[in-house]
Amino acid sequence: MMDRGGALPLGQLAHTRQPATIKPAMTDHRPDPDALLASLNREEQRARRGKLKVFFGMCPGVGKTYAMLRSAQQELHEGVDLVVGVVETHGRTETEALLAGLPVIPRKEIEYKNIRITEMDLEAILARKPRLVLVDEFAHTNAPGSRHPKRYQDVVELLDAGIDVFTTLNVQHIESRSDAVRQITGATVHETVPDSVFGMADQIELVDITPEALRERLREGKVYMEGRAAAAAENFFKDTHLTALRELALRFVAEHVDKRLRELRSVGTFKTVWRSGERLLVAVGPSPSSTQLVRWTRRMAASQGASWIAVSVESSAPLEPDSKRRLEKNLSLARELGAEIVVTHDDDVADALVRVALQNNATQIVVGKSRNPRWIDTLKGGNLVDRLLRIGGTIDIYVVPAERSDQAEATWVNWRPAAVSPAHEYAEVFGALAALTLASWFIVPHSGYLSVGMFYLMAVIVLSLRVGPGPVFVAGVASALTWDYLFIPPLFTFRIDRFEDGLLFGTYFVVAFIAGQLTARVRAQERNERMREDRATALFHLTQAISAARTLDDAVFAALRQADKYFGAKTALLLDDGNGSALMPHFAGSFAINEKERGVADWAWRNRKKAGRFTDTLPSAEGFHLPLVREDTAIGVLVIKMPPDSVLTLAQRDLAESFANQLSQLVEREQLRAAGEREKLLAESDKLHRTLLDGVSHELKTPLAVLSAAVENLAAADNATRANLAEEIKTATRRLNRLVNNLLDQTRLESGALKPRLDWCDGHDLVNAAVDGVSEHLAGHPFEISIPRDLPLFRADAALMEQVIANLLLNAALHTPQETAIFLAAGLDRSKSRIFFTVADRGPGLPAAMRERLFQKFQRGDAARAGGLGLGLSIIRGFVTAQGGDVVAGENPGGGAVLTVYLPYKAHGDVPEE
Amino acid sequence: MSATKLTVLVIDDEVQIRRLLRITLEAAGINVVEADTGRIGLEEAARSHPDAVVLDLGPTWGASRS
Repeated sequence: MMDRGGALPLGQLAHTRQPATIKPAMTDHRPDPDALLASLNREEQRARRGKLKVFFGMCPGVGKTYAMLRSAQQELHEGVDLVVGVVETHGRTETEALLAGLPVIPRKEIEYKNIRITEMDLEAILARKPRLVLVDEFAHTNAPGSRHPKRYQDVVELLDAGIDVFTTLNVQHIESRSDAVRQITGATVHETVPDSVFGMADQIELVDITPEALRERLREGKVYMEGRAAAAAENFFKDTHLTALRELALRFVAEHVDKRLRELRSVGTFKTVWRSGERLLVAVGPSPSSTQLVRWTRRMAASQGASWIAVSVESSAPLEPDSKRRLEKNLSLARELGAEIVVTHDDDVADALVRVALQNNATQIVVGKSRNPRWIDTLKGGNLVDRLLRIGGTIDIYVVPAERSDQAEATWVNWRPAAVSPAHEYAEVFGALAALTLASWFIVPHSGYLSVGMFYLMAVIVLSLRVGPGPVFVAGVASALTWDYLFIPPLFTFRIDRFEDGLLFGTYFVVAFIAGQLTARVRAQERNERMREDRATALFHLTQAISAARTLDDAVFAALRQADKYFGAKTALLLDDGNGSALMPHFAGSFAINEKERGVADWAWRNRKKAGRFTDTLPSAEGFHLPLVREDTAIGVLVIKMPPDSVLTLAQRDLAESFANQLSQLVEREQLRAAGEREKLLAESDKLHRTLLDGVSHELKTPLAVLSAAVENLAAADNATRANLAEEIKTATRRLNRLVNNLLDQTRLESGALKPRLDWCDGHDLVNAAVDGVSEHLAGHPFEISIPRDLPLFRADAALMEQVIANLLLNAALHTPQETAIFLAAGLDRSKSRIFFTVADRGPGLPAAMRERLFQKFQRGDAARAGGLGLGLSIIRGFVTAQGGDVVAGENPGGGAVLTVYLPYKAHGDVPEE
Repeated sequence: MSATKLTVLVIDDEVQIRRLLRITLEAAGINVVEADTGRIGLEEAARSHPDAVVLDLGPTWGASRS
């Protein structure tokens, strides 16, 4: 895999790769696969998401809500369909004035411990589906019993539904800044928003006023309500506090914008840096002088108030274990000192540094002064500093001299062949040369010995395309000596008499040598590219496997199998048990974790640092332990157990980190989703429970009240009244009977005990029976039936169908005003081979939004009258689907609802008799 | 008798309850006026000045639909 050894067509080589030494200054700065992936995800999400605009301020009272409403008025003016989800005016009159004319979705009342709390009506907004919704106070915590515990989760749901959101937020509510705010003001902030949520903002509008202006507003009572202003000012609105908060807010927004900028840059290819802010980049190698370099850069960055990146460039030459350890140490020092670490792969260090600098918009590059002898630098295409100056464009280059250290740099390391060539390549070299020598022996009398030299040269160059640098070098030496010995006069000696021959021989050597070097470089580059590609592919496969999985367990399983494959290792995943007290192994791991590894994983988890093999912590462990870090907690540990004698390359380490990162995102997303789901389920079951209790008690009580009252009065009543009362008793009994039957049917449906008995049915009979059953309720409605005379017999469960039709009619009769017409039609839809029964009414109709949930149990139309449990339609659907049919709700042209039941139809002859 | 006939307004959204009350009250010689929602109940009360109102707790307020 490291060395393909196969021949590459010459033409393709010439077109696709240019030898490094004559490479032009600007190479293709390919996007980093990780960054590309992250940004692709984001782009993809953006396409179907609503846009989030945050009105951001330093503290309450700067006028965020006011700014938001003004923007909203502007949008409304431009014809945008917007609604107000929730806006807190805090009684400020100017703000309230701006609210005028904006359509407001009324808040929902939630009762909690006998206190009525109003919250944003998320369902209503989702049902209304405006283009834009205003949601004040992003960090708000919802009342218990709401769909989500936090308002920002509501906002995420709105964005997911493709609705744009305007919201407001203060810097103190940003999770990563809340500590700083507490230190500044002494006030603890309870409602916070994770930074990642804030990262979703497509647009941030900083609402900024000076502390003086804010205090002025405070004095005028424009902030907070009268009476509270004085006390509030004392504590929170101190001039010093405000200035500090203001800086915090400004800096936070600046950082956010900078992050977006880097993200944008990492995707595209850019040829210059933008000096929108300073960022330093330091090249870190294994040498001790790099340690000084790191410290120097950190001082420099601190004095400029800039962020910095430490870059390690991995070349195709493998590092000694010692150097590797030192490099790792230097990198971890940089990390501790606050640098962002970037590891990249390239044989050309200058090129790699410039590429990373451009991707990250770094304006300054810091490198150490080269201590190589000049001739080595020249041979390697100029020393690093010269090359950086040449290709660095507008980037500042700092060259920091290193103090003398005891450790001499092993410059020859770079000269070693990257990989030992297999023996068959040497065999190939000698075979080719022997054949050529033999041929030349016969040709030389006709062509002269100079041409033979050309043949040998050609052979060496062709060989250099096929074999590694070692065999090429051997080929060069061997062919030169053979040429000299066999062909250059005096023959059969290594002596060269003529000056021209000596010149030729010398040139031959140099050309052969350069050819070998060039090939080695081309191959190394090719290998690098392949490695980069492998990594991108691995990540791609990982995300694909994850996204194809339906559950978290499936996804973890798929991810771990991918990891097994790419590291040739066994992997396991430990996740925290939900309350952060212990790690639990996930069943998808490919090996069982023993007590010792458990301990290492535990350490990695608690310290949020890599541990175990290939690290400084507990290196005697068998596994390489990577914590899954989200924000500032670790939610689990990925353990990779490589075969005992294997080494972990930096590229693999990178890949492992990417895997861990993907896994942690996956787990976190799943955990959040599950939490939301649980909340929703709880709320739903709670609602169901209440509805059921309310419904059942009401539905039972009414007929029972009628019954008891009627029976009580029966004795004293005269004959006429007695007959009336008897009629009422009959009605009430029927109603009770129907209710109990409905409940039983629903139970039967849910327990799965319902087995339809299909038999040939006559549509006319079914309808007549059903209409008889509910005739009393139909009495107040003009009623029309339309069934074709020749409606064929069809297979159905007669009892179930009769009840279905009765329920349809009952539903229409109960939910429409008296004297409005009801129609029943049945027929055969031959084109789709199905029988249909349709009941249409002229009632209030069904809004599109509730048609789907209409068929769920205990769902009742928004305009439904008192009475009824909301079971009728749920039972219809249950009965119909049990017979292989379907029920659809629609709108009656000219007003009213239409409910249609479909049953599959087969002609009499097509169905085998049971 | 008609001069002293009492009038009772029944406000309830359950038609059966209204019917039952009508039967029993009329059997006792009381004039019954019905309303199925709170709003209509108020209108009816203003119009017929009932001597008593039989009121469902928390009646439906919205528009009349029957």
